[in-house]
Amino acid sequence: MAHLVISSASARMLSRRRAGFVLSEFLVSAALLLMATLALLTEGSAHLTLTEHARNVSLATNDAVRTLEQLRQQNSGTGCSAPSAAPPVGFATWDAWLGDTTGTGGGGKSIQPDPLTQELVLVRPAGANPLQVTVSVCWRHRNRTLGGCGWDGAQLTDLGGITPVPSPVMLFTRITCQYD
Amino acid sequence: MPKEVVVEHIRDLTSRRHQGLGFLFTRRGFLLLPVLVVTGGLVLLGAEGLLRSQLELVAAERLLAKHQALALAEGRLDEIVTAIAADPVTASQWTSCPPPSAATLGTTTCTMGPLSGTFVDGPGGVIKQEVQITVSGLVPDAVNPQGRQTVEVVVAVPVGTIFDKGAYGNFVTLNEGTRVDSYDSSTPLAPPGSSATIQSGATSSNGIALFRSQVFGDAFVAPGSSIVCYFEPCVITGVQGIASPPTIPPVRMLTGTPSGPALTSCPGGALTFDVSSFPYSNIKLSEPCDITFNGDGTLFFQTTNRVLPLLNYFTLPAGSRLTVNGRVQVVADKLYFGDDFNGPTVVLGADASFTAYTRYQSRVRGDINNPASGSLGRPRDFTVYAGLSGAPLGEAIPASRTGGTYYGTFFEGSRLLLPTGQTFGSLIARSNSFISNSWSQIHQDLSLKNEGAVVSPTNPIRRRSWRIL
Repeated sequence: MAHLVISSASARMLSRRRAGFVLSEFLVSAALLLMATLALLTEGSAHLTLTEHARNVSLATNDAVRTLEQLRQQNSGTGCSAPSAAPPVGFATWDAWLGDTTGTGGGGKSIQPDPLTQELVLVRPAGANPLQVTVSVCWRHRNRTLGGCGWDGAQLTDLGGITPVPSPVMLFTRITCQYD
Repeated sequence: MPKEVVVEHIRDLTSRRHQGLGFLFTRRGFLLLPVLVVTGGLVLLGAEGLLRSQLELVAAERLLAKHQALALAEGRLDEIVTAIAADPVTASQWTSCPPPSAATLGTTTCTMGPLSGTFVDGPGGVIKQEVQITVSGLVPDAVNPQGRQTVEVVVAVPVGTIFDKGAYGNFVTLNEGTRVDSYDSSTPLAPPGSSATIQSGATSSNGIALFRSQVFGDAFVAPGSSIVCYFEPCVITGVQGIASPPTIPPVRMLTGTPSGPALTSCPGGALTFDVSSFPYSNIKLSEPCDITFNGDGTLFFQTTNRVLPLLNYFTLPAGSRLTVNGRVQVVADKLYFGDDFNGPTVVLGADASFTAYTRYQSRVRGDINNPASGSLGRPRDFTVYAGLSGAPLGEAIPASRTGGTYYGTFFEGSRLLLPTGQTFGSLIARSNSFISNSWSQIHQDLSLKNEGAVVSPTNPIRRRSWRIL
C-alpha cells in the first residue's frame, strides 16, 4: 500500500490545479450558453417574423382571390354588356366592400391585428375589353408597410396614380363578360 | 497514468454519492460536456424553427403563385373569347390561339381547336360552333414555374341562325291569299317592308308554288328547280334566283328525366310554378288554366320509356294563359297549345324566353308572344323545334286558323309545316314541305338575321364547360 500513499503537498497541488480548470470550464461554458441562447432568441425573432409574414401572405392571397372572384361574378350573366371594374353597388372602393362584414359586403379583411386600417386592397383596371385588372394587397407588418401604399400614421392609404400597385401579393388577369 | 491519479480518481468516484450533482462542478470536462449538449440542442431547435418558418413561407408563396397562375390562365381565356367574339363566323377556323397581349407576373401557353360540327339550340335558332381552349398559366415563367395552373373550357360560339329567311322548306307552297313581307322587331313601329326571303331546297321542279299569293321580297330555288305560279296573280317583288340549299345543323335536344305525376287539373283556374322545382312530368289540362312560370330552368316532359311509349305532352287548352317570367326550356314528346281553331295566350316577361323541343308534332295556336297582349318578348324569344325524332308523324302548325298571331320562330324537323293566321318571325322546315294556309301572312323578322352572326349580350359566347386540369 505504500506506493499508493500520496504526499500532502502533492495532493494540495493537484487540488489547486483541479480548481483552476473548473473555473475556466465554467467561464467557457457560460459563454457558450450565453451565445447559444442569444442566437436562439435572435433566430426565434426571425422565425416569428417569417411565420407572421407567411401567414400574412396567405391571408392577403385569399383576400385578393375573393376580390377577383367577386369581380368576375359581377362581369357575368345577361346584365353584363361591357366588363367593368367598378366596386359593388353601395361601396366606394373594393377595399370597403371587402372590409364590410354585412350581407352585402365581402365578409371582412383578414390580416391581423387590425385589418380595417392595416390592410388595403387595391384594384387597378386598364384597357377596355378585355379589361386588364390587377388586384394588389398592401399591409402593415412590424411597423413596416409592405406594398406600394402610403401610411398616414393611422391607416394605409392609396397613393394613387400607380398602376399596378406593387405588392408582395398581386393577381393579374383579364376580364370580359362571361355567360354560362 | 500515474498511480496517484488513479487512486484519487477511485476515491473520487466512490465518494460521489455524498456529493450529488456537485461532482459535475468539481471535475474537469464534466461541465463542458453537458453545456455542449445543451448548446447543440439549442442549435438544432433553432435550425428546426428556421426551417419550419422557411417552409411556411414557401408554402404561402406557392399558394400565391398558384392563384396568380390561375388568374393568368383565366385572363388569357377571356382574351381569346374576346378575339373570337370579334370574328365569330370564322370560329371553325380557330385552330391556334391568337397571340397574347403582354402579361405581368408570368406567362401563358395555349392550344385551341373547334369541336366537330355545328348545332342549334336555345331561343332564336342560333347555330353554334363549339371551340375547346386549353390555357396554362405559369408563374413566374415557363422555364422555372413556381406556380402552374391549366384551365380547359369549351365555349359555344354563335356563328349564324337557321331563321334567316321568312319561309324555307324542301317545297314551298303559298296558297291563295298568302302574303309574305318583312318587318324588324327591333323597330316594330316601322311599316312592313319588302325585304323578305323565301327559299326551297328541292332540286326537282316546282320548288316554289304560288297560288294567287304575294311575296314582298326575294324567292330562291335550288339548282334544277323552278318557281311556278299556278293561279294568277302571283307577286314576287324582289329577286327570283337560284341558291344552293342552306345547311341546317342538327338541333341539340336537351336530355333529362321527367319526374312526378301528370298535371291534369287546375284548382282555382290559376297555377304558379318555380321552374327549378316543377313537380310534374307532363301537363295534360282539359280546362282553361292560367299558368305562370317563374325563374330559369328546363322542364322535361319527354318520356323515357321507349318500350311502352306513353307520350308526355304539354297541353294547354284554348282560353288558357301562360305567363313566362324567366328563361324556360321545355322538352316534350308533343306540344299542343289550343285546338283546331283557337288557342291560349302566351305572354313573356322582361328578358324572358320560351324554347320548346318536341320529338313529334307541335301545334301552337292562339295569341303567342304578342306585344298587343302585353308580351315583352320578341320573335327570337319564343322558339319551337318540332319533329326532332325524325319520325314521319304529325305536323307542325304555328298560329291559328281564326286570326291567331304567332310572334316567334318555328322549326319543323321531319314533317309538314303548315302556318296559319299571322306569323311574325321565321318558319323553317328542314326537309319537307312548307304549305301556307290560305290567307295566312308571314312577316319575316329581319332582326333575326343578325341574331346568330353578331355576338352580343343577348347572343353571347357561352361557356359549356370549365375545368382545372
